[in-house]
Amino acid sequence: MLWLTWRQHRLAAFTIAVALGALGAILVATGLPMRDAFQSGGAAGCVGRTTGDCAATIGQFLDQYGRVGERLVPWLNFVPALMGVFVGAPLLARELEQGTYRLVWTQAVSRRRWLAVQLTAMAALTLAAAVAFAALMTWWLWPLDRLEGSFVPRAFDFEGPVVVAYFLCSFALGAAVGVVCRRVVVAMAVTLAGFLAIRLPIELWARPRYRPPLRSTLPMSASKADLAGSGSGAWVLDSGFLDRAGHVLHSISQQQVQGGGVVRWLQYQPADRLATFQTTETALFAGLAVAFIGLALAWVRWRLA
Amino acid sequence: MAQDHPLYTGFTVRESLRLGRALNRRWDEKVAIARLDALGVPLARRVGQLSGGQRAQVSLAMALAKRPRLLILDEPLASLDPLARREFTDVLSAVVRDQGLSVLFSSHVVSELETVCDHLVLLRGGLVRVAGSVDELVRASGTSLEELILRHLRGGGLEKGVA
Repeated sequence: MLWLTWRQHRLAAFTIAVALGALGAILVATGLPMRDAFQSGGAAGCVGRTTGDCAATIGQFLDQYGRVGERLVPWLNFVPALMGVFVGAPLLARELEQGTYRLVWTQAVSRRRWLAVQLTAMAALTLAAAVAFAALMTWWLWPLDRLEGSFVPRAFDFEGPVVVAYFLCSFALGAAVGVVCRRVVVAMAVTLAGFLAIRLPIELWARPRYRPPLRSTLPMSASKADLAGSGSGAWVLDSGFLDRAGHVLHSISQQQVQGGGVVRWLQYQPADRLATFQTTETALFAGLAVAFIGLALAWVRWRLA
Repeated sequence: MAQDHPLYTGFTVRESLRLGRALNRRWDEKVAIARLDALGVPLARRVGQLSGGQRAQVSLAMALAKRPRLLILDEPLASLDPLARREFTDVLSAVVRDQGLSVLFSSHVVSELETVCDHLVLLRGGLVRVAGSVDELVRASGTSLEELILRHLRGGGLEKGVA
């Protein structure tokens, strides 16, 4: 049974290994200079300090490398989705489309066992890929995380247990969609759209609300680095200006600033909530993964029998 | 065994047999290999590159390797050319003779039935029209089996003959 699973999916396993290897090469090639600049450019010595020269040093480092991160990193959000598209969706859809499920179902192995082995083996592959991906990203993001913390989405989405949960959820969604659609290409498209339809609203809408955000005000003299929560590791959700009476100002004039009648306000999630947020989101996606696997099993049991 | 002989097209014939070995407790691979060899089916070739007749033979070899006492075939001849049909029914007749297993198969291929079948059940519109031993049916009607079947099917759409 394991031999069969390996024989059927060894190409996928090789492809994943090669793709992760290529991604790793890119990350190492760009990560080494970034680490080098982090140490030699003085930013490393400024972690947790946002005053004086350090503000400029950090600003310079972030301008140069933070921007690389901003360009590259959002695309990497597709990596977990691709797991569902290329591993999850075809897993059962191909069997159903080509009729080969009737070949395995007429051997002396129960349908349930066959399904269990296939799903478990490919989930294990997914898990391994997720761990490798998270390890690579955590290494690469290290200098940026020292300055900006691991709470901002740029870091949150790629580090910690949540990455494994994304991968498994994507895989499970693909498997379930594959069983229901019974067409490989359709299942792949639906999986991609479906995963993004889950992932985006959770990141953009739900995640900032796992706990009620805190608000605080800062004097106008606070630096850009202070606002970004440098060193504090907080996740700043929103910021703006208030007048002395506490009204939000949509535009401010030079006179108001000089008159001292304006303060900056921030809405943020403090750094010590990071673990809670990671756990919450991991549980959410792991729960969805379990639900999708349950759907796949039930569909095979009741609809394809 | 299903009509379109489902097999993994990316597997070689030998790998298909290995699949059978992995998924069955009772599995007679030697006989299956000998049978496919005798038919000239290349074991190292991918199933996707075989002819329809060869695929049907691989499917049949896999079904027989399980040493069943009853083999149920759904339209095994439907997708085959006349020569492949003959080869298929020859193998079937030989194993029935040698191993004493029973074969139940459905077919629209009326002309092939007389040489292969002992019993015939003729269905039309979901109802049994004729049932009995082929020898007796032919003797009683005084015509060939093909004529007999066609006569019973006329007036309605062609339905299945089960033998």
